[in-house]
Amino acid sequence: MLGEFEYLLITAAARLGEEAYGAAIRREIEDATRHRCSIGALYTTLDRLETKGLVKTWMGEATAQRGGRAKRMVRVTGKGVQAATSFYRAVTRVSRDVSWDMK
Amino acid sequence: MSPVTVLDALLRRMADRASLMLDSAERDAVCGDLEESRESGSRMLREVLGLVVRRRAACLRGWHPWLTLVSLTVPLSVLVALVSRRTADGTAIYLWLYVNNWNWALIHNQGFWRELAQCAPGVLLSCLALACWSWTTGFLVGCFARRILWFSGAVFFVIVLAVGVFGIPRFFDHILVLPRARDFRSNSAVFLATFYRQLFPQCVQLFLVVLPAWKGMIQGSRMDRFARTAQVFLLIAAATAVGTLVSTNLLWWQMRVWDIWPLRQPRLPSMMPLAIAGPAAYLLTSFVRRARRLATQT
Repeated sequence: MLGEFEYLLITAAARLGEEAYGAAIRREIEDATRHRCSIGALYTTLDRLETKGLVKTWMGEATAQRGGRAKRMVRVTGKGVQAATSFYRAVTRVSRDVSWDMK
Repeated sequence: MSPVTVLDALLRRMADRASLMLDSAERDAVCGDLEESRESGSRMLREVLGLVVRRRAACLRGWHPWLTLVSLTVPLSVLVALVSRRTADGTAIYLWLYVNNWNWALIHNQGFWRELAQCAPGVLLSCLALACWSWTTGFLVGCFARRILWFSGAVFFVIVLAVGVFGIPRFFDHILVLPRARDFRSNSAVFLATFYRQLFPQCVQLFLVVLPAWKGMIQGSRMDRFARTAQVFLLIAAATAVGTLVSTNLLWWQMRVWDIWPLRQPRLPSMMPLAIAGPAAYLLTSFVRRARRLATQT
């Protein structure tokens, strides 16, 4: 079973598709959660997910916008999609008939 | 340029320096991400340090680092610190004898020169042995705790410092040879002086323990540049040197070496000359490696 931050990371990477890399995923997570996402948490989680075979990463091209530094590109693997789906289903099931809307 | 801009530039520079502690690929990705996100200098520094701490902490997971720490780093650092303290106190007595009681008339005294010739080699050899043991222990720590060298190194130096300052519990009195020079009343004049009591042992620790051990750690962490046979040779030499370090600290061994054991048992040889085995083997192996490389180049 995925952890909550692992799920956020996989989902952000899946949404970004070909454009998924460190900074972009971080922005997605910050926009969705409205909380700061630390680089440390992002990269250590990315490593953990890669070890589990849920994502694949590789060094991409460098851009001037990044001061000539390369990006760490991310792609969600089939196993990653399965794990995220299973997590989403579990959250949906457990949330059935429960309303968290603020009155 | 406003002070805020200067401070921001300084923090960015610090973040860049801190990022050197990361792998080169990760450094590229992280610094690029922070640059792209237009983070402030303080934020950049915090983010980079956060990742560095996480990476370092990750190395401490599992039993291997802790086993190395308990079985190698801690006992060796205690033994080296004990020898350092004994050497410092022993040397302090001779130093006090010659420096604090100096009289130019002594130069013309034959007895002075005879006494000096008797004690100087012993003092110098004990200092050499201490430096060699420190290098060897550092080398072994660097070799077996390569991934957590920052941690093992810190523990090593903290223990050396702590044992130097506070000593070790008298409970170990019947196992280890503890420093005793200060207990004898005849030496009290020496250790009444703050220099010999506090400053001199710290100087000995710095020059004969910390610096050689630091060098040894760095060289030990690069052990894999040697061929397998050379590595085995180096480890055997280091183990021999550590054997001498242990034997010189064990009370029962020293009693037998000093020939004051009351029972009729064979006297054990002092293994102190083998203290240089570690650094000597390293110098020899490095020389052979360099010579071979030169031979292949020409």
